[in-house]
Amino acid sequence: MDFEYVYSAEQDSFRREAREFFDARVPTDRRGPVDPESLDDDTFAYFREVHREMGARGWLYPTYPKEYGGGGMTADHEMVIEEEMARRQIPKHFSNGLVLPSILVWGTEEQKKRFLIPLLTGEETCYQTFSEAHAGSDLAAISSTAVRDGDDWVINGHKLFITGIREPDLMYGPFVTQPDGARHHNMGYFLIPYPTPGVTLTRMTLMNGPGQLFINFDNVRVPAGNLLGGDDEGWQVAATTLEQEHGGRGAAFSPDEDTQELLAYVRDTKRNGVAIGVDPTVRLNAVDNYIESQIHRLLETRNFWMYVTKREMTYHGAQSALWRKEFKVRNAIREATIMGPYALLDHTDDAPVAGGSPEVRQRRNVAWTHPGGTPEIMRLIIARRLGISRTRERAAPTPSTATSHTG
Amino acid sequence: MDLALNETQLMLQSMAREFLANEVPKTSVRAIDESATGFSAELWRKIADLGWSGMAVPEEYGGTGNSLTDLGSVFEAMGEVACPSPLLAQVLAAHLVLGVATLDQRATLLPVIAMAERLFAVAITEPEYGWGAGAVQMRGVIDGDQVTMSGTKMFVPYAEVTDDLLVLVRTGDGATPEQGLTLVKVERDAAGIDVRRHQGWFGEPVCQVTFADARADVIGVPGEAWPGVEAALDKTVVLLSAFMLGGTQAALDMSVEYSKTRMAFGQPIGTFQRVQDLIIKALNDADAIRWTTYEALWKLDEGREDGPLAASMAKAVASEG
Ligand SMILES: Cc1cc2nc3c(=O)[nH]c(=O)nc-3n(C[C@H](O)[C@H](O)[C@H](O)COP(=O)(O)OP(=O)(O)OC[C@H]3O[C@@H](n4cnc5c(N)ncnc54)[C@H](O)[C@@H]3O)c2cc1C
Repeated sequence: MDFEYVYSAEQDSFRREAREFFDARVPTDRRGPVDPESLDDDTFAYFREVHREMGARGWLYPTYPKEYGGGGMTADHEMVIEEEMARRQIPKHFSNGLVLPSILVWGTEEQKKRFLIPLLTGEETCYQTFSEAHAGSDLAAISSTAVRDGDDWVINGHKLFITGIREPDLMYGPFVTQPDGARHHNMGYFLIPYPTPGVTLTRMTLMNGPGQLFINFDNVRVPAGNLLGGDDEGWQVAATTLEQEHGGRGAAFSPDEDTQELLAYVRDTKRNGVAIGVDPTVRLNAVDNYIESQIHRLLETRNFWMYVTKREMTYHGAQSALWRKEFKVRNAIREATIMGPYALLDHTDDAPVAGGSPEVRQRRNVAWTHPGGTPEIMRLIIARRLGISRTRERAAPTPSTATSHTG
Repeated sequence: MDLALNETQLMLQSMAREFLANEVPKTSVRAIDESATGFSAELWRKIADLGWSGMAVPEEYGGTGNSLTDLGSVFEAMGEVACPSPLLAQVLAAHLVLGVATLDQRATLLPVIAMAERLFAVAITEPEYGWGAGAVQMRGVIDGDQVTMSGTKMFVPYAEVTDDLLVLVRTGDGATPEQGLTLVKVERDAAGIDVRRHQGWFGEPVCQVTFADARADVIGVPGEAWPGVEAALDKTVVLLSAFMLGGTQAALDMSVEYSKTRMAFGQPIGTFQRVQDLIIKALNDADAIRWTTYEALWKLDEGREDGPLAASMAKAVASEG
């Protein structure tokens, strides 16, 4: 048994290259904001450009094939890039890349060329348009439609809670193609460019900030070539997207800055002249948080290892997603318990704790239990995969992008 | 990175499972538990003959010098059937002797531990109740190679049936509670020792041991036992976590199976979300124990600085879910 990820010589030399690029490109006074969902225009534009330059090198989506604009590299390289970005707090691509595996698995050659290249090179961004007012957890209950008309599909309806901090170039998601068709077989998966006449975006402000959109579709025409998979296969195509979203891939490293911040606070803070860590309630809360954070790290490590060694995964992805979602909420509660009202001071206050990041978590960690399915839905998936539910299911197909892995 | 058990461990584990399936059926677990001493000499002999009592002992002292992870894979299998045996106490004794004893003492004691010629029980906890060096207050007076001691130890596993006791006593006072602790060895039948089995709901027989001017042999350097004791406890505690991992996984597997077959309101109970929640909680517990335990085993085998932290974490997770 060996829990240590050992960097290969190739990774070490690639890291030097990555560091040179980022050091030269992103000065130290350029950092992502404490609250990634309230990004000012200047910062957005700045990093959008950084992302384009990364994309030109194949560094935005390193493991995707070069012919489609990816890096043609291994997951080993990807790991290095992610680490170097995290180290500099460089925001991730402002795009929801969960469609990419679906295009790779389900797309025709022409679709891969047409849609993957601009997305993978960072020229374009895309948003995931799945949820509707009456179809969230129960995605199969969507009612927005796509009707065939000559060489086009005509789309009507709405999508909401769509994550995206500006405007996308492309939207993707399932729409009903056969209103009378059988559940799960009545939809197609569409790729919809933006802007397109008939599409309107309205910003929604949830507790986590202005990070989501309401999108209305009013007789929106897209060509037949924008349908991914068959017009009754939308459910399966969406399953490939969701498999990734549920955390199937794991991670070799999941540094938890939030917990480090909390431990540092407990170590460094005094009340009435006494270190708060002497209070057993404070200590227990901090230690429980540490332990749960470590368990999350280990579940991610396990998934990573299973993924790269191509072991069959069943409940594992949903389990780590469930753990993360519930842990993050407890993390926020513990911060509030330990810090009291200081956990609520935001970054505009004169002297917030840790630049105001605890305040962001008080809101964000609750809201972010939803995307990709609530904890209850993660439980539902786990139960199915354990074979105790009425419904049985196996993991959806994903492209195994991790080709050659060392470790 | 490789999170799988290696060939040796997989083989050890499958041999252990085969042995346990034949020798330790549920009926015998219950019979041993309900017997007068909670101990089966016959089963213990078979376990010793398999070599498990020698796994923690280096080859030069008559053992097989296995890694902690090797041992962990056996303890996991034992936990799956709740195998009742004093193996953990014997392994703790081996770790204590390795960590505290002089070279001469190692040479005499370790082969005996490895072959299970004698059974060892370890007495540390006291009635004032507490963990850590400071909680050891029972006094011993040093007299050459021996100590004369009086006091009470609690929750000592297998003290009723053991041949020897390893006891931690305070023989001096230092600047910190860690100083002044001495490990001693005494025959359970020696003068001045009284053993009484605790009554209650315990997974293994645990006893109160009272010493009245009992004379025991000093192990290692007087007053300097603590670092070796602490290290031995870390190593042993993670094996207990591995045992609990086996038990938790077995309980989970039974629950999953039962929830598929037990019918209520015309359907298998596993289809009820509230039942699923219980199973998912158990699944998360089992996996949390598995990976914290495996990582702790690995860290201790590697001699990592944060091995003891990982061991305590695994034990906390295994005990409380
Ligand atoms: C911050 C944020 C970002 C988001 N980003 C996106 C995005 O980019 N794209 C997108 O398409 N959507 C997005 N969503 C929407 C998200 O996917 C949905 O909110 C989520 O799937 C839940 O659906 P719902 O809100 O309609 O709740 P509902 O489905 O109405 O659920 C309400 C409650 O019922 C529970 N429930 C429902 N079904 C079951 C069941 N079978 N068993 C037990 N409990 C059940 C749920 O867990 C929940 O507690 C986002 C949401 C948020 C908050």
